[in-house]
Amino acid sequence: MEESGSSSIGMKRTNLDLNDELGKLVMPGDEFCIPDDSSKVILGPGLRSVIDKPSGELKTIVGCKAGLLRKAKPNTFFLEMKTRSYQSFKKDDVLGIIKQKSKGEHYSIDVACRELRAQLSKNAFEGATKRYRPDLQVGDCIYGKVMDFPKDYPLELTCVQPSGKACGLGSLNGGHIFHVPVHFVRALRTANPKDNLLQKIGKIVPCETAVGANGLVWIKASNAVLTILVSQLLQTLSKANPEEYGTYLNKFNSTVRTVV
Amino acid sequence: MRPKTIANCTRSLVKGGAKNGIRLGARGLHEFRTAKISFGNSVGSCEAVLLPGTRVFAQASAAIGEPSDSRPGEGSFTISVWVSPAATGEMVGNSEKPSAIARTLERMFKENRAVDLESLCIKFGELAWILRVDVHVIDMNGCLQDAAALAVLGALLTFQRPQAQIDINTDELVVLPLAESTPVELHLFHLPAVTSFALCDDVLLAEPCQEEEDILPGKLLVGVNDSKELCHLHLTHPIDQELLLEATKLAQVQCLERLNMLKQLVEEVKAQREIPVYKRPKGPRTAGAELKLSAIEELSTSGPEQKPSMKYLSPLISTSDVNMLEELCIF
Repeated sequence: MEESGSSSIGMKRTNLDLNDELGKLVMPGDEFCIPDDSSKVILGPGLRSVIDKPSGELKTIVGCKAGLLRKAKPNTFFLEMKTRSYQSFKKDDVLGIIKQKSKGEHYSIDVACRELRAQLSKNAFEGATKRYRPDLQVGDCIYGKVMDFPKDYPLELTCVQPSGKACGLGSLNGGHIFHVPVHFVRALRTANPKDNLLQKIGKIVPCETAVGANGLVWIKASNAVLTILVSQLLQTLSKANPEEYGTYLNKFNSTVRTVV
Repeated sequence: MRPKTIANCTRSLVKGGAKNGIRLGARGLHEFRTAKISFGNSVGSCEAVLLPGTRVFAQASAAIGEPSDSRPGEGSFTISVWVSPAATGEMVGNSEKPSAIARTLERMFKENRAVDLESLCIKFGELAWILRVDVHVIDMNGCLQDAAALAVLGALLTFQRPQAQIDINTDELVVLPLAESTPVELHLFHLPAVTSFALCDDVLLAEPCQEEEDILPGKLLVGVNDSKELCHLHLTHPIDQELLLEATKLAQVQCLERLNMLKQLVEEVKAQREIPVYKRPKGPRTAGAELKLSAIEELSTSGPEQKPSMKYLSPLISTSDVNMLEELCIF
């Protein structure tokens, strides 16, 4: 059991090295040793630090999901998982639908998340005051940011950036909102222009988009037919391999030409 | 999981799209879903998948019991529907849906007399087979009734029960072990299937997905059996006569296509199944109570798929028979 990197079946793997395991499969319960060098390590989704209770010292890093270990630039480690349900993190941009409009100070929001309530303050819009604020209806779509997720309380959303400007957040009019697997959102949100699917689609059909980290995507093209076509394309791509994206885009290009 | 609240923009898009002849899924207005049917290892289990995203499993089973007083010459047939919380995305299942599915299935299979219940009678007023089909909704994306009806029909067509009869001399129930006798299949008078439509003003949408079902007000269920007869009709919205006729014609073609596919698959499954061939020694048949374990072991054992149905034999008969049945279950 104490051997480093032991990987026999039925045995718990301990003392793994974070840098050695990059790109490999991590199972729940796998334990990593803390890196010796004093550089700061940031743990992302799927990894947890275990703290020794009496002394308060960091003991190990444990994988709590199954996925591939990945590293982002400044020493950030996370697990890349295929998942359909969303787990909330601070500062995530999420799309939601207004579920209930109470007389109080909050809208309650459906963020397509199991067993999770979310609320949005009626004043959390750009330039909103108690008297002048947007009046949203049940069923309207909003694009917000996760402000806080306190334990045992509803998730709190906001539609203004800390600077006081909206910067794209707020209510969305028209278009179509639909759900894709959460892991597919990463492919849509990559900053790299080579891999960015939405830019490639935008060259074929110009459209407004909003992609939430919770797997909801909002699309608005010039007319209803194009909007539906783009949503169909994205839902097909979410089930396809990344190598096949090119052929699907070509097919999409030819169908759009026949419609327009 | 998809959101439970429907956005206003999606609502108007679906309604506007239906008028322009385009739907959310990549299907035409009158294009039906692709169905996939598969059978399990145990006798009388069937799973129906309607792409995209509807999956229903059905398992038929039978036990020996007492027939009801009002129909002493018939066996009984019950259908129970279970909707998994994993399918709905809620911890507490929506209580409306299972009952709606069960109602449709009961109307199609029980009230239309699809199953020959008289053949399930063993002794008039005293003993009869109690047939039961459990329907489990594993994943749902609209059209639950269509998939459930297909799964139930598949389960009934592949179900086999052991032979049971009353010994004339001793007046005792004899349940012949599956190894000794050819298993009996159910007798169906007709094979019903159902398809659903969503209505948007004067437009029919064939086999809607969950969102379309929730958004569009009207729903129309048309059931057709294998002899092209209309056997089920359910409307939730007023509808023109011409539209209804159009829907019936579409449903007829689609149901027959599905039924032919199902029949073909059932025949393939039956061909794969080994029916035990048993040559009975000459002389009078021994009653079930006298059958010893040592005698059974000499017989050719039945295939693995036939064992489970023995479990469903309920020990309602007599103590000697119970002992015999327990012995059977062991081997």
